[in-house]
Order: sequence, then C-alpha cells, then structure tokens
Amino acid sequence: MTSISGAKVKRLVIACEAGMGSSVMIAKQLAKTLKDHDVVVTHSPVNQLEDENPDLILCHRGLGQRAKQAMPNTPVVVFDMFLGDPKIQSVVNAILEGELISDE
Amino acid sequence: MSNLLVLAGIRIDATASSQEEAVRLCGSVLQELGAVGPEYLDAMVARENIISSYMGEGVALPHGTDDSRKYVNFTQLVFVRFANPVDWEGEKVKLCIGIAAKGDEHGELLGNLADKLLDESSYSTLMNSASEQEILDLINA
Repeated sequence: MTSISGAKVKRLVIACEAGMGSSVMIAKQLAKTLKDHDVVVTHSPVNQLEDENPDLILCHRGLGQRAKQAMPNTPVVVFDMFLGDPKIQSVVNAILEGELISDE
Repeated sequence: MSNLLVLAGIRIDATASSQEEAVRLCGSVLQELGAVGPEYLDAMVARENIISSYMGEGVALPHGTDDSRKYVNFTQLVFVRFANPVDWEGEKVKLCIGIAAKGDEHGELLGNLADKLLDESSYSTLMNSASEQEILDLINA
C-alpha cells in the first residue's frame, strides 16, 4: 500500500494501452482543471510509466494490476468509467485540498 | 479551425450489429478519408480486444495499438453515431469517436470533447442532432 499527500502531487500520469484515445482525453481534461495548481498531467503506455516519473498514477481498472507491477512504489488509483467517474473527481479534489491519496 | 474532424467523417445514422463491426466501420471511414491504411482496421480490433474503449455515457473511442501508428497517414477523428445502440461487452454504445493518431495533435480536441459529453445540452446535440454541420461546429467550438 502506497500513498501520497495531494499537495505533493506534481506529476500525475494517466496510464493507458496505446495512448491515442481515452487516456489522452482524460489527461487533457485534467490538465485544464489542474493547470493553475502546478500539476503536470500526462499520459503514458503502461510499460513506459517509469519514463514519466509520476507521483501518482490514474488508470482504468483493467490496467490497474499492470500499472502497479510496473510502478510498485507509486500510488495507483483505478477508476471504472472514463467519463464522469466520481473516483477521478475525488482524486482532483484531494490534490486541490492536499488530502491523502492511497492505492485504490 | 482544425481539420482533425471533417464533415465527410461524420455519420449520424450508421448501423452495426456487433462491437467489432462498429469498430471496423470507424476504421473504414478513417480509411475512406485517407487517414489510415487497411492494416489499421485489424489493429483497432486488436486494441479493442486488449481492453474495451468504452468511455461511459454511451460513448466509445476505438483506435489502434501503439504499434499501428505506422499505418496512420495523418491524425484524424471520425464521428460515427448509430441508429440503434451497439452491445459493447454489456454496455450500450450509441456514439463512436474513431481515432487515428500519429502524435498528440488531437489531444486538445479530445479534452474539450470530454467536457462537451459531460454537459447536458451539448451531449443532447451530439447524440440527437440531424445536422452533421451542427455537430462539426459544436465539436470545433
């Protein structure tokens, strides 16, 4: 179990399979929301996560295990729905409020 | 205005009887526009088999694998809306945004599209409008 304070998240990475579709959509959307808070949001194929040096990883449940295997020391939060998943919103809120974020 | 989505890439009355057929239809529209070679269609199906491109709200985002970027001639999106929802591993898909990407040029447009899909009024236009031009203008707005 790993966790991080939302205040310390400076690099948020959306893990994905190909990096062409859903992860791009979510990364750009979150980048807009977080741009005034000094958080860089990118997306990366799950096998190249290390290159992004993430503080926190967000990904679809279907990729969660692979993301955690690739980055065992980085918190990984999984969500079920790309559009409008309350889990994504709660991560954004935790970053803005500086609350603790753990593997989920 | 970008030409990442063009009028000829918008279908509002498509039919598909399966997830694979819907994905291949998106691929064939991309191919008709010259954005991809025929190999890309198989890569789209392969990508879909690794993990579903279902986004939520009746929308899927089919695209190829990272490897298949070599079959992409230029970055292009297509809008394919189905007359009847397509079964998508238990979900119901009414709209596919098919994607062919060389790089990240389409990221901004996709991010804005996510906001529009989460906005009730824009969502209704995207899902119901009978005018391809109205859909194009909304997505590019």
